[in-house]
Amino acid sequence: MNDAADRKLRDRFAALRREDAAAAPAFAALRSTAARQPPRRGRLVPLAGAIAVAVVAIVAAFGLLRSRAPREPLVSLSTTRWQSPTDFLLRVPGAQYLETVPRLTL
Amino acid sequence: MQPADLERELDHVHTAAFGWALACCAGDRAEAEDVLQTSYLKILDGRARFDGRSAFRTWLFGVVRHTAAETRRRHRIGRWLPLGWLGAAARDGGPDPAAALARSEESRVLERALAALPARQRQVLHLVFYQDVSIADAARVLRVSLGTARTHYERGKAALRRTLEGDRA
Repeated sequence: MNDAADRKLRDRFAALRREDAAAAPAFAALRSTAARQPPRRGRLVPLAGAIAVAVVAIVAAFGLLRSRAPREPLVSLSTTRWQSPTDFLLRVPGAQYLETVPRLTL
Repeated sequence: MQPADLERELDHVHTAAFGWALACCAGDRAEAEDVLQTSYLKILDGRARFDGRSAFRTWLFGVVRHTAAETRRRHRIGRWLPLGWLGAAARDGGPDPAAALARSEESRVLERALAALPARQRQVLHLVFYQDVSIADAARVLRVSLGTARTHYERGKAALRRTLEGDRA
């Protein structure tokens, strides 16, 4: 942008500044209102404390409920039958003959 | 700096600081007054201290920018949580309609064009053209590097010119 365009922009901003200055509140008014305000930090401390207490209470209640609940085993061994995937290798032809004692008729 | 000296300095740059607060609050006059008041309170009760490393005005503008960002954050939280008692109630924001009516047509066009820019570009242009601050000081106020401030300045100026020329056409 050239200097003339910059100057034009500056003039427009100067007009805006004059309008803002005419509508600006008096320093003394803002200063005295500021002096009457309570410090904001003082209002945030109770909130932070309340949030911290609530979080601790929730965590403690959750922990208490968990410790009181009866613990169920993840897998009930009495109802589970495990079978090895290689069991079929043990099944050999004629196995039924080996499970009984042969009766010999002499 | 003594409290009396601080007050004198603040009074001296008050009008410029109000203009800057308006720029940081997207033209919302009520919010700008709140931000400026909170900034003065921080300075006068010692939460923000001037250490003399930059010009007083540059430092004050930094405090105002920081306070405006805090206020915006609080308003965002206020939209989600019912924290009216903390002064965090949500506001609709935007320029005050009565103040907009009092503006000249030229200024209204300029304000609209500025509002269309990204915040950083708008703030750099405001500091340079409205406040007559150097780009280096603008970088200090915005806490960005000089190169970044220059980039925002050039891009913002080009975009502003395009928008203003488009409005004229």
